[in-house]
Amino acid sequence: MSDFAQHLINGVAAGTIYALVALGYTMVYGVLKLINFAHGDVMMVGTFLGYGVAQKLGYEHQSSLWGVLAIFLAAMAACAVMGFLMERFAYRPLRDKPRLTALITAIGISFTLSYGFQLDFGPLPGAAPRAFPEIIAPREWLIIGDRAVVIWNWQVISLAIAIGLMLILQALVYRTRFGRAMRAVSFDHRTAALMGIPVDRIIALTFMLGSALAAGAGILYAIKDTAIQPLMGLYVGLKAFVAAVIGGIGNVPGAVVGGLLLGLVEEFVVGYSSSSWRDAVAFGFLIVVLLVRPGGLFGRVAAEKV
Amino acid sequence: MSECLLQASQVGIDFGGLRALRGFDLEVRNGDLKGLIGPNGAGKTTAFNLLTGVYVPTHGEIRMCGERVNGRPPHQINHLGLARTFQNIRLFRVLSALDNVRVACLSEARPLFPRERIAALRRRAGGSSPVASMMDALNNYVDWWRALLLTPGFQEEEQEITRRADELLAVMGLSHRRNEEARNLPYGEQRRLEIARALGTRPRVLLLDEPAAGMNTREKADLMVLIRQLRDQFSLGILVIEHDMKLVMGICEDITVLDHGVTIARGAPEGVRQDPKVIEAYLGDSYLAAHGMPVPPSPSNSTSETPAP
Repeated sequence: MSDFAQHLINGVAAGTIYALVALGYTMVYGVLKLINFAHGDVMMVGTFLGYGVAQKLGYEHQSSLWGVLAIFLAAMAACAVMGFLMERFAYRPLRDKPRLTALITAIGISFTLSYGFQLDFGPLPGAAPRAFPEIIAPREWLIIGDRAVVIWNWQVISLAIAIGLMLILQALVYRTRFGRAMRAVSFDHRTAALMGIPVDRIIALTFMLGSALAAGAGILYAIKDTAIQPLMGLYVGLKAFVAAVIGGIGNVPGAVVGGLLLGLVEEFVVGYSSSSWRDAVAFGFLIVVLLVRPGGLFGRVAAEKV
Repeated sequence: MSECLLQASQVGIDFGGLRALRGFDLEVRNGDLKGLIGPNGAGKTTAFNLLTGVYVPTHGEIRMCGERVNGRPPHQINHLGLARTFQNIRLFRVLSALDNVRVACLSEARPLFPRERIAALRRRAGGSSPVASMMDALNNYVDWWRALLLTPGFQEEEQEITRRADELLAVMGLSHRRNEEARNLPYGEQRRLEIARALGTRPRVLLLDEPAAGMNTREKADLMVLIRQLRDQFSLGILVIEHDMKLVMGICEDITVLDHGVTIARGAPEGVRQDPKVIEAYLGDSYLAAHGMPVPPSPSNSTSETPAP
């Protein structure tokens, strides 16, 4: 029983990170019908930027409240700019081209980033993992029983940050002008333009928002896993994409639920069988979900009206 | 005579080899209620698409409030005061009726750079000015970031937008549908919701693409009253595409008739109704011949096929 509780906690912690990254996939898909395969790498870049800022701050400051805040904000802001540039110069020129062109471009950007970051800069070059500094000094936050269940402070803080970010996003999408415009663009961007909505800017802002969330998720991931490396984006990105599809791609609450489910499934597989089964079961879970609900858990299956 | 709001002169467009519209002239002034009719495929909706910036004309010039708008993106043309509805209803079906209108209510925001200044810059540059575009972009970004960051002025603006959207729903008699998803509304109400949404953008000229399509006689009669009322209440110029002759003849003061992309007649309803070219376009020249009317020469670009024996 205590094992179960511990896995539940770890699974939720992992799942919220998937969820944050999945939100970026799902929002961009919503407005552009594009799978932005570079999104995972944006997360990686965010993590490295956070790493760089932490290095600059030095051991003294990186774990202070302001230090942590600075790391998050700097990485998120820089990734927002990167998201903007990516949309403006890579995807916008291809907007009216066949969808495959943009997809290939996304894969190209993904590889450029994940291999570009292996160039020789920073203290450790190449694909070697870097140790992400302990910006939140690990402390046991809650111990239940005879150390049967341990909840770490970083798990609580991560969860709080992740939930905070999701609530902000929820409020933006469903309570503001920007969100209404985004939903309108996502439904029919041509009509939206005719109703005076600057479609290009909504799309650019969607990219910026998604990229900022990914950067936040990346740093949370680094706090959890402590090792970061340039190829992490491919892997985590793929998992988050699976989470978005499970939830129903294009659906905001779906991405959150999909991320949490995937995190839990993985954690329970690792906990109760073997970690080598993790990915097989994760993708198996995707297949099962899609067999039962082809549009994802929250997705609508477009029934053709005849 | 009031200022000319929307002006098209000698506008034409080619799709590949097909000239879908040619030599199209039109003026809409404040208080006008004009009609655009013609058989299926005559180029009416193409004309709307050209005016609203969906298509870029290959010939001629379109001016909105004195500004040349050829090639400008649709949302900018909309900001100059041109709004439309669609022949096949194109609501944001998954949004509530209220949100459909609120989406369009964007012009409330107090921008960083006044819109008049940007418009003046563009006018001086004769179309597009990089400085104006920069200011416009900054306006938009600041505006959207205020929405993202939920600044204090933002809440107030949201309330204002909601209030205005509710007003428009009330004008169109849709208050009872406020929170329903647009796709669940009956057909006639969806058409009215489209008009409410278009009005949300604070237009000076409203283009209605077959507003009465699919409506029953009674709804049509109500619509005629409503269109007149809208023109007066919101001081609009209105241009209507409509197949229902009774409706067009009943409300329009001036009618333009298109056939095969060419304007074949223009003028007051009575004159247009008796124009042999119009009758021929609608009913075919065999009708004219049978009724002893003169058969006019067919429009120069129509690929008139040999009539079946």
